[in-house]
Amino acid sequence: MQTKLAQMNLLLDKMSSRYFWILSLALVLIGFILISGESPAFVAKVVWQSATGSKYDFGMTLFYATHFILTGLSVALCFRVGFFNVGAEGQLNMGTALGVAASLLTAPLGFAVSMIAGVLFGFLGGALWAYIPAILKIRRGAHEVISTIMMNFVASGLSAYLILYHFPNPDSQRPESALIPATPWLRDHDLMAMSFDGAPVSFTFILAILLCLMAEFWINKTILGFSIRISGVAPEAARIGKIPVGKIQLWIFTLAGGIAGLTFLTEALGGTAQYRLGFSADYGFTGIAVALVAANRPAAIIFSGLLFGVLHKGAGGLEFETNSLTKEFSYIMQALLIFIFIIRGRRNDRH
Amino acid sequence: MIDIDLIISLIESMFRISTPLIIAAMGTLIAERSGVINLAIEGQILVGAFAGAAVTYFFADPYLGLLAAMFAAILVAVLLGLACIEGGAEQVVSGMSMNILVMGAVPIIGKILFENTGGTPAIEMAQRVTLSPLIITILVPLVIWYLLKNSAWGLRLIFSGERSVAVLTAGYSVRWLRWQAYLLSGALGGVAGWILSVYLSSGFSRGMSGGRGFIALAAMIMGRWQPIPTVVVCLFFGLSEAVQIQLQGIEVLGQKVPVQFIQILPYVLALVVVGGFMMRSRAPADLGK
Repeated sequence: MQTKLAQMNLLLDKMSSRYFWILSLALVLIGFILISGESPAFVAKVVWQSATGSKYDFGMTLFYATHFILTGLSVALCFRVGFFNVGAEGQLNMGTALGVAASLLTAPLGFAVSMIAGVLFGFLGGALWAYIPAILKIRRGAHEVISTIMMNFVASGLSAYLILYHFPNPDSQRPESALIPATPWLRDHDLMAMSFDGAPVSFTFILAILLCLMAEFWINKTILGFSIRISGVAPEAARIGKIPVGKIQLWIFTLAGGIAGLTFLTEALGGTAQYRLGFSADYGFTGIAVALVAANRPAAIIFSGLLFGVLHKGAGGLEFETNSLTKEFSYIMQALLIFIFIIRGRRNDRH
Repeated sequence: MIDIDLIISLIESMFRISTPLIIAAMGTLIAERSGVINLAIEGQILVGAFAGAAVTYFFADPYLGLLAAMFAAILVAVLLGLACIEGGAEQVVSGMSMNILVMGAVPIIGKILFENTGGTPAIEMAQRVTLSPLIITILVPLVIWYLLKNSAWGLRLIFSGERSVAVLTAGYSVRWLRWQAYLLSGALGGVAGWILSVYLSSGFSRGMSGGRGFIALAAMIMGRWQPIPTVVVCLFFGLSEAVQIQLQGIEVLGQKVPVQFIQILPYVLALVVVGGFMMRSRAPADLGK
């Protein structure tokens, strides 16, 4: 005989299963679309069309995906050592700004030097921007979520200062930097750009994929990689095993910042060959979603980044094709996707 | 000589600008004392600012706006609670995701209501508030301080955060207490947002929360999770923002200081605070469990 209490407990049990939540989230999403006066089928069609309709469109999708793969890898690597890198946005900002600045400064020395300087400083800029909150966390226990978010704001101000005051575009009134001279030549020889009707996608897409594959190998097949994984999963056990957890966390965080800073290449080889204020459509924040959907596995980041590239480009299409949905719809998708992956169903007791 | 008018105006600005920070910080404080991390405070402020401004505009009544702001923010808190308490999701990531969700939903709702993804239409002076936010801002920390110190509920809340098993042993539900904390925290976040858009400005503008939720968190940490010190830190942040407004355009060593350097001051200050360069502190022991 089932008492009322037992019945209620059964219901609660069902409710805390993760499939119940996934279903609810899907319903919420459909509900939201319906309330805003659109048909879910139409929305899906528009998103898919916009992302894959033409060569140029798909090229744009891959362009966005490049950003997401880079920031996703950055966030994922940090998660693996137990840190939440919300600062990918600031890291990519500083990296791109410093990279553009270095590139412009060394332009007289030729294309090769200019690009190498750009990549170097792009990486270093991002790395520095991650190092600061990392060292604050390791040495002073500063909550990395708050410090990285603050660093994002500071980056936004400092990069604006650097570009507007020291490297502005002499030919334009818009808040952007001068153009990198090496870019047109590079794009003329870029296989990716040529395959997609001149879309901003570039060799950086291939580079990003390579980085993910390298990271996957490194994390899973090497001894150092094992130390990295252990530092995140069981830091106390790692310490007992004489693994320098703090050092690993510090340098992985810094490396992750550098990877985010490689966004310089995406812009330099693709975008518009310059640093435009506000060029980042919150690539850093989307990286969080990318990492979580990929369960922090570098090889999966490739696919996760592509997924979000499709969503991002597709949401842009929504802006044109629907009356009420805007490109911000991709944020809603992101958040729901994250929840689908992090809700586990309540494991502990009901009290 | 120091200009006395400037000092008075700075102090006055400091109090005004600190109000949303103080309310938001009180919200995060209740949550964290009970053992939950409300990172969605930023989204709650944003949605509160939007809902508050929109409803105030439509109904020409700022207090209806206040209710709307609280309602919208509580909605966010409910979703967060469902994900974290009922769905077992990790709290920090969930909070950030709620912020992302709000960042996505607000412009779309703005477009539906106002054909504009940026801000809401300006609110007339007559419909804005002038005094009530200050009164609220003085009362809320005092009430919270009193509740935490002297009430049975406050004691249970504190224990939920420090040693939840003690609360369970005493026969109370930690889960229900933490839900209450989420709801209250959300409500306060909404109030903070309402103050931003209806008191400190004449409407909502894109991205209005500007990191204030996170600054409130930083203030709470530096305030050692206690109401009165947290208020003091918030005043400090408010002062930095007030000073920043005054400083724009000044010269140092004969060179005009670029505006960006001044704009980043409050954030740099938050970094210093979080870096514990001012004081070490300890979080509630059962936080996040």
